[in-house]
Amino acid sequence: MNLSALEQAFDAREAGRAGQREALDALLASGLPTRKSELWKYTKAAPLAEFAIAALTDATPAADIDAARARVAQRADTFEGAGRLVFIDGVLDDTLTRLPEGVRLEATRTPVASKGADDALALINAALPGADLALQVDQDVSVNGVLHIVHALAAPSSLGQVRLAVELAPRASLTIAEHFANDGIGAGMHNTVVAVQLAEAATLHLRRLQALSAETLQVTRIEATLADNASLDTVTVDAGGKTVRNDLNVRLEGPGARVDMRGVYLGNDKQHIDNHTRVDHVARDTISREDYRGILRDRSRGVFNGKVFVHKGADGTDAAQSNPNLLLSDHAEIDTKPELEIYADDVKCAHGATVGQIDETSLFYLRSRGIDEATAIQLLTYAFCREVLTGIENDVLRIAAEQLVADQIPDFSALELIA
Amino acid sequence: MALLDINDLHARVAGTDILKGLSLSVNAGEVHAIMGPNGSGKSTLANVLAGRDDYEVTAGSATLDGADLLDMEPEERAHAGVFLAFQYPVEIPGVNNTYLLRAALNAVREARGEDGISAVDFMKLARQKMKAMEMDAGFLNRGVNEGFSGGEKKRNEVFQMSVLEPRLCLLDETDSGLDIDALKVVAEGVNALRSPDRAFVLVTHYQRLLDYIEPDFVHVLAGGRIIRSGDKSLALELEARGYDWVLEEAAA
Repeated sequence: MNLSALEQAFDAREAGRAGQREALDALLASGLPTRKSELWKYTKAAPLAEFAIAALTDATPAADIDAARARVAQRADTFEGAGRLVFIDGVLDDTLTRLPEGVRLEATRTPVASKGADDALALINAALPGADLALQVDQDVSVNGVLHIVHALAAPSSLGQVRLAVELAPRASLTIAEHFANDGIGAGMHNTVVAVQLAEAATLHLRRLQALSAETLQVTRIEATLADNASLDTVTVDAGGKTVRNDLNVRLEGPGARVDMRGVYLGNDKQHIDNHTRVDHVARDTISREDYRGILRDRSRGVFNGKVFVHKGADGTDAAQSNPNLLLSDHAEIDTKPELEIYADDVKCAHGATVGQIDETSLFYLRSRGIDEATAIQLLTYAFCREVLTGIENDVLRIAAEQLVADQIPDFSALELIA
Repeated sequence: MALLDINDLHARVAGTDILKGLSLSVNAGEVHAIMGPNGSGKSTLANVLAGRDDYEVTAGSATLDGADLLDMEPEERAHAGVFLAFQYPVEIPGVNNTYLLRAALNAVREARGEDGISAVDFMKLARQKMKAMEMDAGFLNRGVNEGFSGGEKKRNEVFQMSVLEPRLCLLDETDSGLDIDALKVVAEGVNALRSPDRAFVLVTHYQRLLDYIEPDFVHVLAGGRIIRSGDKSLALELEARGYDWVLEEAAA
């Protein structure tokens, strides 16, 4: 595609943020990835980039922003917790944002996540206008409750571009729930980059929930760096969207650092959901756990790519990865690929990817108890990804996640039957 | 009319004929024990009657109260009053024991034209029945059979049976893997359910279970057919002498 629109739009503006011009230049130099690019083999980058660039010249009317603000405000009750950050079309909304005690939010001159900026969509994120924000928690501060981050879109042509750094000082802890919404506006696109920096013994629980409309595009990228004994735990629920691409890259740079990555993706119709994860075991005695589960029906397609890279000297690495998938239609597809690269000794690495159907014995067991076949299949489908959701310890949030999953299972009304 | 009437039943699994002309008539109020050597078709019989897909019926009939059992889906058989206590109960993490059982009970009640049971009444009932099975009430909050020991799973089967109050109880080697204490509890659970309206078909490998659940009839199943029937003394004789003499007499 032609990237000159991007350049023209850029030139029409003021000088821009630090790194913005460089990102644009890098993007113009590299062009957009094709299917030959290993990272974008199964997901087409061009339509995503086209939408993002078109959104540049298509400013959202103020009335739509006001309406979006009103919708988020109306739902604010469901975001009850320690506080919330609200982005509408990628712009922080001061009127709805409430920072919890112990959390600071600042504009930063340092470009967020320059590490991931070799990727086209991350470059677009860095080249387009918008502020770099840093969310900070001081050392030894444990923030109680959940900090919600709401990514809302105002119009079908809206682009929600967010660049956020999350920085936890030593021994700080925080729980974040990101909600990607489009409130029934039909289409739109999210393109978010979150850079996580966890200092020594800091803990971040990150939950990401989305049930976007079938027309919405979503690209998210997390670049996380963990120091000694720091801990990151993520649960990602993808229940909607037309094309979804999530990159989750974690560097375990300090001994004793640990990451737990869990995800559920549910594809219906022609949805396309792509999860790319990468863990770099840089320091010794680091642990990674990964469990992503997919349920694909109709003509939907799932992509899972899980890379584990054990660096030289990262002895005592303990990595386990699992990616079971349920294919519920002959036309659904999953491309799953574990990748291990190991340059250290004394390493434990386990991985397993499976693709299967509903377990016949379990189905017979439920039916023999009088449960009709359709309900039994729904129950087993739900139960399949249930284990991932139990990783969300906050009840309100877990129930919200369970509901997202249940809503994606056609005619499923037996939510009370779950454990 | 017999409650369960099986006539010349033939069934196969994975292309191999297992049942080869089995006939059996069970009246309400009776307990029938099906014994026999390994591979004789005992479990196949229980699974075919419950409607498991893997088994293909190639000839013969089975009726429950005169209705064609083999024409029903597994859930319809459950609604009609058939219950299979599994030899290997399945673990289903993510599906809650309590809610499964309540849904099962309501499905059965609905089929009988009765109203559904409220959550409160159900919990009362479940607690009372669990106590009889010496089960920890904490099981109710767990996934179906999730993390249960072999013995706990078998108790759970009989517990479910006691809640659902089926008309025809099929027990597929419910005694296997049980220590003597658990066996007594399971047997007491079964005995408490004995009634003039209900029948039991116990598939078992060992006579031991029959010390605690006294059968009205004992049948020896071998080569896919019942080759000998008798009263409970037949089980004792099998225990003492093994199966060879029955097989030889049948062959003669």
